[in-house]
Amino acid sequence: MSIRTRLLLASILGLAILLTNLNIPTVSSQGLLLEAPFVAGELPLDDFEAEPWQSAPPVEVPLSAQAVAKPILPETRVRSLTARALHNGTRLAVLVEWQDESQDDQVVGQQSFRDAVALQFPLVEGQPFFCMGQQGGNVNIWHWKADWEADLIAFQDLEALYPGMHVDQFPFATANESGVVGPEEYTDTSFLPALAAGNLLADPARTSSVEDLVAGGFGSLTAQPGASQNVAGRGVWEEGRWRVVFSRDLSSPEADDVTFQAGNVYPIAFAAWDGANGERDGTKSTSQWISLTLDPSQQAPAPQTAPQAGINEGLLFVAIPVLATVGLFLLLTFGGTVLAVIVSRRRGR
Amino acid sequence: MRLAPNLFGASTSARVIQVLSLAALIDWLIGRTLTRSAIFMPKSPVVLWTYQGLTAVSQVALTATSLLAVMVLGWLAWTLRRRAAGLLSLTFIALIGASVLFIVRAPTAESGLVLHLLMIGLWVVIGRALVGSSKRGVPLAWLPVLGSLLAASLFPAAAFFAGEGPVFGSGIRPLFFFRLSEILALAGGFALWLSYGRAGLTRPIALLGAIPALAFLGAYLAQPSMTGILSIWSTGFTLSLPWPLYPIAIWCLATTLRVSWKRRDPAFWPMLLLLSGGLAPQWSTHVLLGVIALGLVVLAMPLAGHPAAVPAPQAHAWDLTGGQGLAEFTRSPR
Repeated sequence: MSIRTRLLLASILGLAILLTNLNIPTVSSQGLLLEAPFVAGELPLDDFEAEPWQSAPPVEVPLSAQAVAKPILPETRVRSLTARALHNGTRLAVLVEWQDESQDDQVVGQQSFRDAVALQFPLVEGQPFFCMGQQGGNVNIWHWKADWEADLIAFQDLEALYPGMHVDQFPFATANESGVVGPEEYTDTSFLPALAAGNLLADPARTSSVEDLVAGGFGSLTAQPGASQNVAGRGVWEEGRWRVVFSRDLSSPEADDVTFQAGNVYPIAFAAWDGANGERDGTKSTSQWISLTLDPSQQAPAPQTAPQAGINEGLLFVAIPVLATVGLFLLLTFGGTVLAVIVSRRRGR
Repeated sequence: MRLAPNLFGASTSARVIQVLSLAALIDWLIGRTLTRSAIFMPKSPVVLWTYQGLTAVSQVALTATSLLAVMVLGWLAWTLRRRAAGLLSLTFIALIGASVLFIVRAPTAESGLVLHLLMIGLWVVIGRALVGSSKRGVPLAWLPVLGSLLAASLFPAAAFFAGEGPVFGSGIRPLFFFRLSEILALAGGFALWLSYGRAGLTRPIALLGAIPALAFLGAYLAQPSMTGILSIWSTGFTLSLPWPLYPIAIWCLATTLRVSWKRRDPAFWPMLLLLSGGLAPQWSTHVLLGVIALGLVVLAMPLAGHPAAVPAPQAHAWDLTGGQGLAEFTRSPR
């Protein structure tokens, strides 16, 4: 190998080390990008066939079985889902759709598991571990549950599964004429400890089918208090397909809530459960992080909140391009000079 | 008669391509395979320290790959221009421009579509050149590989227009192209083995090729989900086809590479670049690796994998202009 060739390759290696240490990117990736167009007026949260949804660019997100934390279900059924998003300057809506042959929205029986879908957003800069975050990298999770959706119509209890059941006696409660006792019949709710403790699973009067949670790694999933549950949802199953819409204000004063600003890019990940396959908790289908961006057309001024995850595009368009341009200029100049010397000397021979 | 290029030589261009292939290999094996397996490893301090070191090495390798890929692509564009292949040259230059532009401005869906359409046009042009080169001994085994890359570019382009639905009312959904890309990639591996690997196959080489195939087989049977995740991250293969096809393809490619290396077949370097780029390119550079690989195949015109057809390296081993000009690239190895 000639000295000139060695010099050229050494300069390339040196430049590569320099650019890597300076975190100057020399490659780009068009990952999955979920774009939320701006819609004037109210978002169509009840009509999934509305024109704004049809116009929103869909993104097909591939899912795979969670295979890191036990218990592991090697083959989960939800292989992909389609996501769309809209915003109107004050509120964000995300519509997800996926194939599911059965509508599993009753979990009263021990052998029954719910269909569900979840969105996940990091609460820190960058992308923490895509599955439930990590220590020091909390994530905000919006978890829609099919049985909670059914509960909004009529709260499901044991009698939904066993209509002929009869209870002899409920302590400290007065049964109604049908012999069924609901929470409203309890004279002292202290004997409903889960409800008294604020456990959302026991609340028969919940107003949303979405649970707002925070996590920082496997086993740390924590529901936000009832007063902080601010994510609305609606899900419909039809002809083997679920369609679920999540909606929430762009801004939130809660420290454990992600805040959005139009024009920024936010990592978002998805997870889905097929109850008929026994999928629950960690046995689920999950996606990698993809990017969500809100059309920077119009947005109401956001209240002051703690810094949230997001990429400041101002930096992207100032410092990094300058350094990248300088680096590439040096490379092309030096490399071109070396090659020119090589060519000229060989021609001279 | 055009001769096979001396990509195993010591000329500047050959060395740059060799180093590019090595850097891309490090990026693939360490950056996209080994370090990503870390999520399945216990997080002890020694393991963390080791993986951080490997990650640093792979990041340098990726940066070096991107710089060298742009250089080689520029050289290919210059060479093609001098061969009066202006359209292909312009396409290569446009790819370089897009690669640089997307560094400073993240690709949007629209700009990404432009790139995918550019790639589709490029693959069609290269396909025509490959078919033309078949008359000069270039095996058509490269066509399934090209088809795989073409289908991989058609998938996002079709999805842009049609979402999940049929493309322009054709009844074909975008996901069809994604599946087709994987099928053609496996078929290409087998075809390359038929053209380059079968003739020189010996028992030791066959046994050597069985090692990675059996490693994959064992991992898949023991942990299919983990293997699937790693496969997607490492190569882009989703393992959605019948699983026996994958260890067979791995064996075919491993033996073909070993035979090509042993026989100093110039096809070795394009194959290595294609492997390193993967099926579903994750970075702009990985897309360029496939372009460079097939560009080398077209320009260098490797002959069919028959010992009698491969001439010994000569003084003008890489004569890309039919004997006119570019003498500086035709020196014999020093």
